[in-house]
Amino acid sequence: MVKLHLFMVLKTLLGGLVLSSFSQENPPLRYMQVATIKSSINEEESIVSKYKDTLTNDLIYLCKSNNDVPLYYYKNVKGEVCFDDECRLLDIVVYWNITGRYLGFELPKEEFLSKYDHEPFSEKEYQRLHTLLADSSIPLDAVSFEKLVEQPQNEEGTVDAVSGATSKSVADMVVKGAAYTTYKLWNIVNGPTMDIVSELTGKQLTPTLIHRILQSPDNNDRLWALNRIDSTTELTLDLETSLLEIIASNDFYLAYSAIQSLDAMHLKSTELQQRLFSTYPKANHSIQKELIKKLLEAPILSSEVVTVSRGLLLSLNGQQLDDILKLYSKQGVNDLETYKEVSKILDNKNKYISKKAYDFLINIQSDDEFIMERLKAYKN
Amino acid sequence: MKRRSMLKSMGVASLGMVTPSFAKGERLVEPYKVKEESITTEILVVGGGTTGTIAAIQAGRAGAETILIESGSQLGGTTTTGGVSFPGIFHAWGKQIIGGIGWELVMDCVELNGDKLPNFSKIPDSHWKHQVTINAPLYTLLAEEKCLEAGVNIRYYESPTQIEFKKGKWIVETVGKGTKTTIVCNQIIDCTGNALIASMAGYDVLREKDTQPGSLIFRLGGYKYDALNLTKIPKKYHRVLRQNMLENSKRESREHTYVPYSYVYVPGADSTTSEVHTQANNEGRNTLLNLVRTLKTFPGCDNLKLVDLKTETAVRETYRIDGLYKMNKDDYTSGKVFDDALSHSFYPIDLHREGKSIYQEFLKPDVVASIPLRSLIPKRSQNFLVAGRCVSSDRLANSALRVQASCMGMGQAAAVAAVLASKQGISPAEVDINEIKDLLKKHGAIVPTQV
Repeated sequence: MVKLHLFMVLKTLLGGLVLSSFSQENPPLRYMQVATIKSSINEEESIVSKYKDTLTNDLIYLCKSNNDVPLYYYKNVKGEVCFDDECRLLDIVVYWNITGRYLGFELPKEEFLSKYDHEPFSEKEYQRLHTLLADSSIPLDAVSFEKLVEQPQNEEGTVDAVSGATSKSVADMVVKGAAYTTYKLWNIVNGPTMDIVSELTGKQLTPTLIHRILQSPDNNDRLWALNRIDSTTELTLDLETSLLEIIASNDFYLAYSAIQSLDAMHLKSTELQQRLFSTYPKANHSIQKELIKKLLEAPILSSEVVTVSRGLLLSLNGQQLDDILKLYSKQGVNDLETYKEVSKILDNKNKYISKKAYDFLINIQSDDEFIMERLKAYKN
Repeated sequence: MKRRSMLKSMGVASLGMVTPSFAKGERLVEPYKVKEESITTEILVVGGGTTGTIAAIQAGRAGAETILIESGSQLGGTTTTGGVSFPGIFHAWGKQIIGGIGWELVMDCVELNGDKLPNFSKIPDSHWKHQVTINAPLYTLLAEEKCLEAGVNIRYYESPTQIEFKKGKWIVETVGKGTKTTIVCNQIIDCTGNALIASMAGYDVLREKDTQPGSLIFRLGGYKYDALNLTKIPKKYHRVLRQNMLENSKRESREHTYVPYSYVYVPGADSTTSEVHTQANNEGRNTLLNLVRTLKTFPGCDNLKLVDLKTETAVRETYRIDGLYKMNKDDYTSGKVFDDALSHSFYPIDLHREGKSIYQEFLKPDVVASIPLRSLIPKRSQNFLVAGRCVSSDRLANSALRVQASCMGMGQAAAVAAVLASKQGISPAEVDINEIKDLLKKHGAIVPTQV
C-alpha cells in the first residue's frame, strides 16, 4: 500500500519533468557559459570530429577551428523517458568545454522544457538550470532517483509516501517543479562524458594549446592545464611566460600549482631559473618558499640566481635565509663571494638569524681567513 | 680448607661471569624533591596550543628570549590533542588571507605527509572544503622542532599558579612535575584559550551563561556504511555512521557530505581547570561509550570498533577578556578593517547551540574580517597580550574568529607586538602600530589593508 502511494506520487510529480516536445513557435533556446577557448577573428568553427562514448554508445562531437584548435564538444541527448507507460521525448544538445567543464545547452527549434504541471520553464528557470548544471559540486550524483522525493518517517518510523514532495535537501539543488529534469541533465553534464572529453583533449595537448587554455578566464580550466604539464611538455616562450605570469599573480593556489607544474627537466634551462627567481622578491612568503623548493630540484643552479639571491641575503628574515642557505647547500654553491656575504649575517643582532649563518659557515669548513675571523668573533 | 676456599672463590667468580653489568647499577637515590628555581626571559607564552605555538615561534624568530609553558605533553592543542586536525581557513575568495608561521607549519606538514591542498581558487559551497587536512602527529613534531629551532624554551607539564606585576616585570609562579619555578619576564602572551592568566592577573574576563559544547573526537571501524540497512537504524545515528567513514585526507572538492570527522558533543565543556576539564573528559568518554554500545546493537554493526579516540575533549568557548576594543558581529560580518588590524579572520558565524543545532551566517562575497590589536589587550593591563579564542569579542564574532587559522594569525601578531614592546620597554598598546605591521610583514604574515 505504502509502495503504491509512493509510486503514484512519483508519477504525479515526475511524470512531466522531462522535456516536452510539442510544438511552440520559438527560436532555439541556447544557454552558454564563458568558453575555455575564445576563437580569434581568423578562426572559424569548421571541423567536427566524432568519438564514440563507449559507455553509452552515443557520439561525442568535437568542434575545432579551421586551424585545428579544439574548441568544444557536444552531444545530442535524445531518448524517451517513461513513467507508467507515458513517455516523452528528451531532445537537447549538451556542450562541454575542452577541459570537460560544462559549456552550455541548446534546445532544438520549437523545443522547450516544462515542469511537472506541463508549465514551460520561465527565463529565470532556464537560468537557474544553467547555473545548477555548471556547479559540479552539487551532490546530485549521490542522490538516488527515489530520494528526489521526500520520504518522511511517521511515528513508527515507516515510510509514508502520501505526503511526498520535493525533499528539502534536494530542493536547493534543482529547479522547483522540475527535479527530474535537473537531476537527469546534471548527471549527463557532470557524468562520465565530462571525463571522456577531458581525456580526449589530454591526448591532443600541445604547448600551444596549453598556453591557450591558460588564457581562459576560468580558473578551473587553468588548473586543468597546469595539472597536465609534465616533463615531456616543451616550455615554449609563450607557455613559459604564461606560467610566470600566473606565478606572479595574487592567486595563491594557481601560483602554487604553476610552480608545481614545472619539472626538473624544465629547470635545465638557466633562463627559466632566472625568470622564476625574478618573481621571488615581490612574491608572497608562502610562494617564495615554494619557489626555493622548486629550485632545489634544478640539476644545476644558475649562477645568476646565486648572484641575485646573494644580494638579498642581508635583508631576509630568518626563515627566508634558512630556505636560501639550504638551496646553496643542496646545490653545492661554493663561491667565496657568497660565503663572505653570508658571514656578514653573523653580525645580525637577531640570534635566530645569525645562528643560521653560523651553522651554514661551519658546515662548509671554509679556510678563508676573513670567514674564519668572523666565525671566531661570533663564537666570542 | 683450600678446597673449600677455592670452591667459594669459584662461586663468586662464576656469579660474576653470569651477572650482567646493568644489574650492578642499583643505588639508593635521594628522596623526591621539588626543584625550585627562578628564571628570566623576555617573552613568556602561556599555552602551547594552536595559538601559543605560533606565538612562541614568532617571538623566538624575532630574536627574543622566549619561554613557552604548556600544561600538557605536546604542542598543537585543539589541532593535535583535541583532534581537530584540519585547520582553516587560510584562503578566502581566491586569495590567501592568513600566511606566516601558521601556514608555513601547515604546508610543511602537508608536504612531508604527501597530502594535497584543496583547490583554493574555487569558491567552495561549504566553507570547510578549504580546511587543510594535516597529519596531527606530524604537526606535533614539526611544531616542536620549529619552536626549538627558534630557541624557545619549552616547558611541558607546567601551569601558572600566581602572577604579579612588579617594577615593569611580570613574576609568574608555575608548578609542574617536580618543579616550582618563578619566571620573571617583560611581556606575557596569554594563549590559554581561557583567558586564565588574564583572570589571574586581575583583569576582567567574561563568560556566557550557556557556552557552546565541546567535542570529543573519535573514529570507528568494523562496519561498511554502504552495506548498512539504514531503514533498520534510527535516523539520528546515520550521521555519525556516515561521517566516520569519510577519510578527511582523501576528500575532494566534489565531496559533498558532512564535515568528515566523528564527535560527540560535551555540553558546557570547559578546560580552564584540571577539575572542569576532567569533568568534560569524563562526560565525553561516557557519552561515547554509550554510543558505541548502542551502535553495536544495530544490524551490520556487530563488529563495530572504536579505532581512535583523541586525548581530550576539545573546547569551543569559555572565557573572553574585556579588551580595549570588543569586536562585535557587525565588525566581523561587514569585514571592517581597523586601523590597528593585524590579522585576518574568515569563517561563518558558527554558534553551536545547546549541542542541537548550529547557527551559521556566511560572509558575503569578498568580505574578510580583521582583528585589531586592541582586542588582544585587556583593559588596564600592562605588558600583557591575549591571543586565540579568548580575545575581546562578542559571542557571535567569537564563534567565527575562534577557528585555528585565525588563532594562528593572532598568535603571530601578538608575538610581534610583545617583542617590540619588550625591546622598547613599553606596553604593547604603546608600540607604533606601523612598526608592528612592518615586522609582521617581514615575517611573512598577511596584514589587512584598508582599500
